[in-house]
Amino acid sequence: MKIPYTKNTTFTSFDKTVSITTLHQKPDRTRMLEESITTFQIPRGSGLSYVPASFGQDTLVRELSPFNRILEFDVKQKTVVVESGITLKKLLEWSFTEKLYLPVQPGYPDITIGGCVAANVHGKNPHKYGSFKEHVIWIELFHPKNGSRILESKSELFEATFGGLGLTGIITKVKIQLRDLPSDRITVEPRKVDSMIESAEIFERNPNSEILYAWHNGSILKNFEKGVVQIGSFSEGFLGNNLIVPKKTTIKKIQIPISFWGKFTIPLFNSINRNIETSQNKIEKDIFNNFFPFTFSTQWYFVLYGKKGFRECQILVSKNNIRDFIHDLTSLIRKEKPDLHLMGLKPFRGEQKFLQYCRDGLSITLNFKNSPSTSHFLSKIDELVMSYKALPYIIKDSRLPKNIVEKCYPQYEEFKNLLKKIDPDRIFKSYLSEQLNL
Amino acid sequence: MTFIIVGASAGLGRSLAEKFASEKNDLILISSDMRDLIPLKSDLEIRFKVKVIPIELSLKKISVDFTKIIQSLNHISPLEGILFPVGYSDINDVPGLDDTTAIEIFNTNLICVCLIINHFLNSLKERKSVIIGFGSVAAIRGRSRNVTYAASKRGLESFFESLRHHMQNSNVIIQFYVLGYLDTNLSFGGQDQVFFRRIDVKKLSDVVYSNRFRDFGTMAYPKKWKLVKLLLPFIPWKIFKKINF
Repeated sequence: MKIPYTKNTTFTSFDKTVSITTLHQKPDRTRMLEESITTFQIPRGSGLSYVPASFGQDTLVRELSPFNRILEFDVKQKTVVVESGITLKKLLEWSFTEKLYLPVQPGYPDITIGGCVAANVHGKNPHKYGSFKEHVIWIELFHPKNGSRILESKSELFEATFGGLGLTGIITKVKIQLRDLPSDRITVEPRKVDSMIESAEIFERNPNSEILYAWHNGSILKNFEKGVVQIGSFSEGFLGNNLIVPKKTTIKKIQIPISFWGKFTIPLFNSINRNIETSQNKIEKDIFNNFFPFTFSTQWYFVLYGKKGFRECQILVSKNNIRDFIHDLTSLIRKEKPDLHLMGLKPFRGEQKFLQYCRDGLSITLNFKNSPSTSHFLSKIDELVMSYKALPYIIKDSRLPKNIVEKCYPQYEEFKNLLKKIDPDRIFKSYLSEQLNL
Repeated sequence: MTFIIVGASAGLGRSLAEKFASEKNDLILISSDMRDLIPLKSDLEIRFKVKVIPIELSLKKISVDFTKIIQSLNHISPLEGILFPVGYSDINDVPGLDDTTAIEIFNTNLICVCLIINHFLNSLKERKSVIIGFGSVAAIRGRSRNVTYAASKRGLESFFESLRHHMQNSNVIIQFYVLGYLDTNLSFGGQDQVFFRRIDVKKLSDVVYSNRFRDFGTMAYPKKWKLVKLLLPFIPWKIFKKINF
């Protein structure tokens, strides 16, 4: 069947490790979206996923960016119904004018709400506000064979769609619970720390902070584990009536041939950055820059990885295993000496279902240069993750093997069975779903 | 003030609706599918706090039912302009096209636009106002594709020229944009080879808004197309017939 208004596009995962050319459609009318297309397909938002979740071989990519409108606003209940293609930036541009905000913000303002659902994202405060699903009242899901249906919070398909990688159908509408915005600024107190255990201890002592995360140097050459804990809270009142949302939040697609990040540049950069960040006891920033550290200038960090890109893995360790896991992880790093650049830490809470990345514990992110030694090291990490029954974040690690996901996610089989139940022909698929045998 | 936008549900029409609403203008949005208009109405009203009235009206068939538009004008701020970012083309639009499709293309791109303008011309004369039409570079010189579409758009350009001549001493400004290839969903499949980069409809909407009371007559946009518009008719037939675009 010839699908009108399509073209071949080459899609690349954000970590630059997977590229595929496939058919691309960008429906901008309801009748186009609801066309009875039953070929293999996958919905796509802004395509900012680190992994190839929104494209696949011989799969029609259905980009939903034109469906980006605000449909309903209830002033009293502070709820908003939006189309799934709306970006966080567009939603916040408006919600700031109403002195409202969405407490869970992933790092990029151009991520769509549909993407936030499909990856069940979190922000810099999952210890306080959990993951994205906790702020959603219902979602509307469209399936070319089953039509549209509203999924109320806590229902089985609702839970499967959060973190469901777009495999349950096309998320078309989302009803979100917003919160009062207390201020247009956030005050952050950076604290120097020498180890990840120290950060974890600070997290325990600050359970009510608005923002709570840490980063640590990953290079074992110098200053290994040294880092900064960021503890943030809203400032008092509003300085201005106009909350600033930058017009430009992404940089042009630039590719440098080799990685700038190496054995010497990384510890040097991290050391300078640590000293700059902790040069003041308190730093007051506008909320947009606090919510979205990965806007314009910070994106250079990823560009400087060069054309081979980078690898990232994020692991959620249960509360009672934190100390042991960190000990074993740092021992492994010291022994294997990987191309590890950064380690990020966040305290977490949440009830885990299906493929969702959430539970009570500590989330540890590791950033590497993409190299053969990294692949070798990540296979060691896989063993460690399995031995601790930790959760690897599917949406961050494009190399994650099927058996790890199968063993670490207790409802992996249930998720697969549910997909088969709602769509026996399994028309929604992606490179990632094939890799994970979903 | 109110602007009527005919063909507002997607592409340039939707972008114009967003621009005019962001500048605090009320809108009457006309399109063939209410399912696209209602979300747009909600979005514009919530974000920009303007009044938006959606009207479902297909221009494929005549005659045009003006009732809903007239009724709507009684419930909104005074009319300041009508914009026609409306277009309908068909992949099979070559000589020998079936009657139904050919008539629908003529009606949407030319006849209904003329009928709407004729109907509201007198009320627009009452105050400073503007009528904005949109043509296409496809109409500069006929070729073997988009045959009916190009003929309609060339007819529309002529209608706007006459309109401007007729309205020269009135309050009504008549503008006509001859557009290059737009970066919209309709061009997504890339059926047309493009000489220049496709037009970002957001940028074009900004231009249309800032120009809205300039009496320039006809404008090629982007301006590079002005040269093409000038030269294309003079390319000798022997060469022109070999160009495949």
